[in-house]
Amino acid sequence: MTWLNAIAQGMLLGGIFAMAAAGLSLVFGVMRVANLAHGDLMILGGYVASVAAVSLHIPVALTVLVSMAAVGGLGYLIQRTLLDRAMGLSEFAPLMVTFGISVIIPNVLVQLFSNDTKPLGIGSLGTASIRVGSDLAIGWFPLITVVAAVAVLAGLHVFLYRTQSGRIVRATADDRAVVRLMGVDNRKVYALTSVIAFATVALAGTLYTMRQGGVTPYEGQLTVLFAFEVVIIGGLGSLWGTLAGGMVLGIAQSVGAQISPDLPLLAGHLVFLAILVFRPQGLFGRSVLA
Amino acid sequence: MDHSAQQPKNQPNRRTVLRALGLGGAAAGAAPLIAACGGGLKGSGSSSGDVIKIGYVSPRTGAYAAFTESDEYILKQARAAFAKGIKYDGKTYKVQILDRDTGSDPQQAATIANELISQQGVDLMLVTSTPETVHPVANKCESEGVPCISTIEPWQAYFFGRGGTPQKTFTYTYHFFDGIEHVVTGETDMWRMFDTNKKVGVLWPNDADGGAFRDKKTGFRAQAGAKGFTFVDPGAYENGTKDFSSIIATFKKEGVQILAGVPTPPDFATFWTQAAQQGFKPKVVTIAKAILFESSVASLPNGLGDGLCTESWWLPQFPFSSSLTGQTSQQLADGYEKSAQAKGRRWNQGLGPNHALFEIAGDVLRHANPKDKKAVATRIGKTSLDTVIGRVDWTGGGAANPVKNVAAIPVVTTQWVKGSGGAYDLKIVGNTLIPEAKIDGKAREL
Repeated sequence: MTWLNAIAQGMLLGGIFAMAAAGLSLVFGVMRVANLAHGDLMILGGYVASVAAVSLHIPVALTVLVSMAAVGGLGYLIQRTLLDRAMGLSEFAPLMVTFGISVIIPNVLVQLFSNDTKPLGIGSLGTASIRVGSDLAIGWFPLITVVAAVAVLAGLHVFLYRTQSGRIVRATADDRAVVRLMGVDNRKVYALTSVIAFATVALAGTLYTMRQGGVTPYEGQLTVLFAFEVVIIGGLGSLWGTLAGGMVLGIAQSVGAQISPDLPLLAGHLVFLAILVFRPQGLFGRSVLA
Repeated sequence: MDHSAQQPKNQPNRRTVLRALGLGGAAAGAAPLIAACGGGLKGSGSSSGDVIKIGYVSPRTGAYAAFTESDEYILKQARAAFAKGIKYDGKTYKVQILDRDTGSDPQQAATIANELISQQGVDLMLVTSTPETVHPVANKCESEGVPCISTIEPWQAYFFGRGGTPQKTFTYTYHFFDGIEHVVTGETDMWRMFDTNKKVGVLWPNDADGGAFRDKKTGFRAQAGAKGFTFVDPGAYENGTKDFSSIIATFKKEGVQILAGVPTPPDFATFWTQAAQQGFKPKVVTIAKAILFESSVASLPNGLGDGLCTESWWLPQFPFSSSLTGQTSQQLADGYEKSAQAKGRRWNQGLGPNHALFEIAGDVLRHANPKDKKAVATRIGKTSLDTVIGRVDWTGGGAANPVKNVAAIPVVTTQWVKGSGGAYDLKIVGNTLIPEAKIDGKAREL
C-alpha cells in the first residue's frame, strides 16, 4: 500500500511537471529555442494571478484566465521584439536572451513585491482529499492539476494535428525556409507559438501557486530544470511524451523518496540520465535530432 | 596558512550547484579558486586615514531576502547615528558604511568579501543571515585578518560548521545568535504543555541548518531538554522536494504527535498542505526558519498556519532598548513600520539582530583603536552589551558564551494566532529563557 501511495502521489506530482513542461516542449520543438526563463515565467504567472485576486478582487478561479492572457500577451511582445531579432543573429543569442529574462523576472518581482510570499488562497479545496483506505489519499487539487494537464496537452494536440494553423506550426518546425516559400510569415507562426506556450506556462504557474498557497520570486529556478528533464524524458516533439515524461519524473521522485528521503531529486536525475543514455530520443520521440 | 585549510568548507551547496547547472554557468566552480588566491593582506595591521570603513554584507535579494527586508531602514538609522563620527583616544573618525548585496549566493558573498577587504580596506565587517552568506565572508575575514561580526545563523552551524572546536577557535570572527540548545529548551517546553505520546517527527533537510540540528554530538537530540522524547527522523531530504508523501506516511505509521524541524518556507508549505490532504494531524508543531515571517504563515492554504509555533529571537514585545538610537523594541518596530523604507510592510524578526550588529560595531570601535584590526578583534571578544535584542555577551563563558567566538542569545516560544481580520499575530506563549518578556497568549493545541 505504501508503494501504491508513492506511485499515486508521484503521478499527481507528474501532472504539474507535465503542465510546466508543455510550453517548453512546444517552443523548443517549433523554434529550437531552449527557454531558460521558463521557470521564472511560471512564477510570474503565479504573481499575476495573485495580484489579480488580492488587489483587483477577481474571483480566484478566474485569475487563471487573467494570468494566461497577461503572460500570453507578454509572450507575444517578447517574441516580436527580442526573440525574433535574436534568432536572426546566432544560435546562442536566443539562449542568452532567455537567460537575461530569467534574471530580470525574479529581481523585478522582488523590487515590486519584496521577498514575502504572495498569497493565492483556494480555501478548503487546497487541503481536501479523497480517502482511499488508510494509507492512500488523493488530494483534490493535485487531481485537478493532472486533469488540467491532460486537457491542455489534448487541446494542444488537437490544435497541432487538426487545425490549419496547427499544420502550419508543424510545417514551420520541420522546415521554415519551405514554409516561407509557401507565403507564410514564419515570424507570425513563432509569435502564435510563443503566445500559446507562455499562456500554458502561466496556467502551470497559477496552479503551482494555488497548490503552495502562495509564491516567492526565486522558486522558478529549480522548476526549469524539472521541465527540461520532462521534455527530454518524454521525447521532443511529442505532447503525449511530455505527459508521460512528467509522470515518469514524478513517480521517480516519489518512489525515490519512499526508499530514502534524500533520494527524490537524485532519483529523478538518474532516470533522466538513463533515458539519455539508453533512449536519447525519449520515450515517445520519433528520432534523434541532427 | 589556515585559510587554505578552511576554504574547502566553503563549498557551494547543492541548491547553488543546481541553479548554476540550470543556468549553464561554469563560472560558479571557478569563484572559490579565485577567492582562494588573494591572500596577500593578512595581518596588515592598520590602514591610514581618519575614516573608519564598515562593510555590511547581507542577502538583500534572492532566496534569503526576507531576513533583510528592513535593511534600508537600519542602514539609514546607523548612518545617522554615526554621522558625527566615532571618537577613540581623543581622535574623531568619520564612519563610512559600505553595504553590499550577495543575491543570496555564496560565491557572490565570497567575491564581495574580497572586494571589501582588498579594494576598500574595510576596518570591520558585519555580515548577516544564513550560513550561505555568513560563512564565505567570515572565512575570508579570518584568513585576511579582518574583524568580523555576524548574526542570524544558529551558532552551532556557524562555529562547528566552519571547523571550530573548543580548542581551535577563531581569532577575528565573532558571532551572536541563538543556538540549538535554546531552540530545544523553547520547543520542548512547548511540547510538555500538552498531553502527547512524546513521539516527535522531524524535518531536518540536507543543508547546513539541517545538518547542525541532526548532529549526534552537538545537535537537537544531544541537548538536555530533548530527553524523554522519541525522535522519528525520516532522513535528510533535499531542499526543493515537491512530494513529502513518504515522510508523511512514516510519521503516520509511527504515530507521531509532535512535529519539529528547520525546513525552508516553500518546502514547509508543500509538506503541510500534503499533510492535511493525507490526514497527518500532529498535536503540536514547532518549526524553526520556515514560519518566521507572517507572509509565509498567512499564505499556507486554508488557514493551516493558525496555531503553529516557532522560537522567536526578537519581538516588539521585548523589554529591551537600542544602545544606538535609544528606541525600545516596540519603538523600533513602530518606527520601521511608519518609515518610507517599510513600504507599508509590518515589522519582521530580522530587524532586531541586524540593528544590533551596528550597536555592537559602534561600541567596539569606541573601545579599541579602529585602525588596529587585531585590537578591534580582541575588543569584540571582550564585549558585553545591552542591545535591542537583549544582552550580547562574549565574556564569561556559560550559557551566554558557550565557546570563545559565540554570544548565544535566548529565545521565546511563540505561537501564530489568526486574528478576526485574517491577519496573523505572534503571541509569546513560553518565556523560560527570557522571563522579562511577558507572556501575552495562551498556548493551545492544534
